[in-house]
Amino acid sequence: MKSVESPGEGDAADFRTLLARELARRSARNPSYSLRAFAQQLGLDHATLSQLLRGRRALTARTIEQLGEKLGLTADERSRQIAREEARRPGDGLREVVQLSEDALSLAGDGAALTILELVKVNGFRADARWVAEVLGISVDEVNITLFRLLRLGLLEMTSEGWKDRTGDAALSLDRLEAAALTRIADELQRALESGRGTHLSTTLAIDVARLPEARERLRAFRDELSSLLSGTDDVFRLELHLFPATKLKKET
Amino acid sequence: MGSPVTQFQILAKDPEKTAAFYTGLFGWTQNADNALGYRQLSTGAGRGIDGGIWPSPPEGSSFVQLFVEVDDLAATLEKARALGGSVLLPPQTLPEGDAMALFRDPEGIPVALWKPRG
Repeated sequence: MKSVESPGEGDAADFRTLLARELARRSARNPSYSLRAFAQQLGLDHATLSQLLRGRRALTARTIEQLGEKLGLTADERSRQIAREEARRPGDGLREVVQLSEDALSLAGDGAALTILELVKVNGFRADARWVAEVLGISVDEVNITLFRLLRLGLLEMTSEGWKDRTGDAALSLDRLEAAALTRIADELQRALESGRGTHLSTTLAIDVARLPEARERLRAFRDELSSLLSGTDDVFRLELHLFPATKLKKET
Repeated sequence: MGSPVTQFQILAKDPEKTAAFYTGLFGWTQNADNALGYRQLSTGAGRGIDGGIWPSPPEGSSFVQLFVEVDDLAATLEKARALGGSVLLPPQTLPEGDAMALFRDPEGIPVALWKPRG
């Protein structure tokens, strides 16, 4: 069984951590040093500082700029922290995953995708959307929509030497195309999670297919249980549970 | 040399209808005689920038996008990512030798990077 787990909640160098470290450092030097004193030196009221430290209040660019300067960060360091915080905003890192998922779903109903990936290997292929449209009997617009789906998913690349199939399969099927798209999405998801606030767990394992119906029931029950546990009004998160075959060994019974 | 905005692009679900609208409204001309069948729009004004129309997929949306010319597509994408943007399309060399890439800024706006051939 192979398992993966994301780093989860941030890492040690974000702005909140810097604030917390500085408070700890000052408190260690002077045992009577308080959160209130730290807040006063930063020009904040203590409740605001407390909320910032606990992640209950968003760190705006202005706040990072003002507090960063008081903490002695250089302009460059402050800019990096601002960019980092912007990148952590909910959903931002996952936007590309959503886009790629839409591309991958669209490929399933896009008969031209497979044909284009095969066509680029044929002698006499012309890197010309008008020619491809003529060969496939579809419009140039339809070719270009499919082309850009393939390019975004990294399944095709346009280079100065021509268009290259990047799926790595000599004989391509729709299943394999979807698998290649899912790999690309998983990479993007991992990247998003590494910079974000989410948690990602996955496992690849040999299974008894007869137990799949029960597994599906348990997944539904788990989804409902977690929804009930987390239900609130602070923020919006997405929970996704996937269980799918990683091979083409045999169909479920 | 800076990074000039050199072109606008309209992403449209019905490119033909959109082209007819803008050519009819402003007297712009359209030319799609190129390897991607790309509808290039020329304002004919001699100032400002020209543009183009690209098909938006059925699940996508219609919007206007800017093209910014840069020397190094990969380095600009890397910088965009470091500043909170995300990469939509890695660098591609188009059939006629120009290269392009796409990123999304932290507000979610897709922007095109462009490097002319030669």
